[in-house]
Amino acid sequence: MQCPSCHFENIPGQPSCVRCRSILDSSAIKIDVHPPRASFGRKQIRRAFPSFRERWNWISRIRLSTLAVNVADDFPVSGILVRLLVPGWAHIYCGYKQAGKIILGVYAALILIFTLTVGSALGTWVLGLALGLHVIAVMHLLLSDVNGPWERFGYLVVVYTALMFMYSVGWLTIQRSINPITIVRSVGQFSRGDVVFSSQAASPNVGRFVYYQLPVRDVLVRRPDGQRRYRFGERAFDRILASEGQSYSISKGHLIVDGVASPLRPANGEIPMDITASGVVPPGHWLILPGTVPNAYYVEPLNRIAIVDTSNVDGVLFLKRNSIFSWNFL
Amino acid sequence: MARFNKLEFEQPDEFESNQVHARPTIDAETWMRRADQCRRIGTYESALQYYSRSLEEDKSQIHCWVGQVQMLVLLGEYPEADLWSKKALELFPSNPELLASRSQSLCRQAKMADAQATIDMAMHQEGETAFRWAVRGELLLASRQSTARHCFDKANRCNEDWLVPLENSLIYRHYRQPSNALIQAKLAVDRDSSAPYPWYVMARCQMDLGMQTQAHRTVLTCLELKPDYQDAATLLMKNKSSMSLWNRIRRLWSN
Repeated sequence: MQCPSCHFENIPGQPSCVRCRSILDSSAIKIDVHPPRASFGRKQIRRAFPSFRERWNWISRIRLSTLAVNVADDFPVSGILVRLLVPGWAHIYCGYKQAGKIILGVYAALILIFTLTVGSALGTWVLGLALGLHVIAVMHLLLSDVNGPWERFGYLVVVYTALMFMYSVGWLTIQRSINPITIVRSVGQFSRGDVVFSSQAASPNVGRFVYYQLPVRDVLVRRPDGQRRYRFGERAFDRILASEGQSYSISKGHLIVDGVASPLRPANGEIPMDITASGVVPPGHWLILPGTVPNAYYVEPLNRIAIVDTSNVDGVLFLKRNSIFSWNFL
Repeated sequence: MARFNKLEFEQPDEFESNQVHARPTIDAETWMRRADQCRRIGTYESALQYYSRSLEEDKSQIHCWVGQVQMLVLLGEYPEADLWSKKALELFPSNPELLASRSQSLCRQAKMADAQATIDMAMHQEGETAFRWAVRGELLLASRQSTARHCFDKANRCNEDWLVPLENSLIYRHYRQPSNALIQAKLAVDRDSSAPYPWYVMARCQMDLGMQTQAHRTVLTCLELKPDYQDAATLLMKNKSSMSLWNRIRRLWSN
């Protein structure tokens, strides 16, 4: 009995070939001979979104190397990948010098405008444009000869997701040290639309403006015109007026700290004449009058909202931008 | 549905029904020949069906198992090809062609280490076939090694059939190397200039390279050989549209 695979002559009656282990009488086996098929939709999805392994292999081994071969003799793939983080840089590296310089210049201009307008709607738009330019730059370099619209779309989604992730991580990292806060209501020296920058790196102290979490949010307020329940926002900014262990007294619009009239005023510039409060700032707390929160002065007792735990302070305000060309240190 | 029972439909007459029963059964060899014919004009879907029909008649046709896997690969269904090659290898565990086809499906899924191990196993088996060398060449091509061309040359030397350089050309096209693909397609045309499919593939390579005028001429030759070649007619239309003024201007910009 001859093996259909290796053509070895086996003894009749053998179930499988002694040389290659192939089944000798396959007609006796019940086996489906129709292969599994991928549906049209599945094929389209696979084409648009290949597996990570396939994509990585393709990008690292074929596309980048093909690109490199086209441009010059040899370019390390890692070198190109690293340079893709800055739009235009990889273009310059690969020899597309003019295109690279233009992309890099436009990107730098957009980032500069974003830095100047950060915290405003314009800043958000400009950052979006910068991200778009980055996506286009990566797509242009890597995928210029991908033909299928679905394939292009798949790559666009992958590149966009990767860059969005990169930008989000970058933004969250920057926010830890510099957090822009847009002023929504004019108060004292702060006008609506101004942007103040808060930093966690600076240490809070008496006299500094800080960005903090209000100790109370849903509270009953007694105003001259009656009693009402108010729900305040989660965070506010204002000036630290006294530190732990200091005694304070507020009456007739004046603040006295440790028996001496304090020159410091809350962010709104004045203390209402009709509120009174006194006491000693407990350890691990600051005295911060809620000058930027409407109606918060009438919380009874005022200490509930004015004595703030130090852990509630999110950052110190150090810079104010009035317009693109006007900046003040706080 | 009792209310439909009394409806009168046209009944097949006795002669016709007898003819159906008397239809001669087609043997495995014939189905395989038909599959190969389809493969030689690039209708891989039909080829796959004919290979399956052939296996229905005789499951020991290893050529058909290999053909099925190859068709699945050419149709872009790599995980299915992988699965099917594994199934075929259960019947014929160390068949070199099946191992090579499995290696190809793994390679297309970028499982390079497994693909390399499988093709090594295939190469260690007795004999030498064009397909094994072509798959080895594909692996080298996928890993960007310059020795890939030697493997394809070896494959071409192993078998004088024009299908070998043609399928090498398709491999090069898959890896977006149209210039190398064109060389292989030209070789296929040289081997048999009366077959329309090599002309068709050659035209596609020329279009990939932006040689629209040459591609136009090649497709016309292909249609001369097989006037009802639908894919070639579609390609001709596509080529004509890509030669429009707007596309020429766009090409100037993109270049």
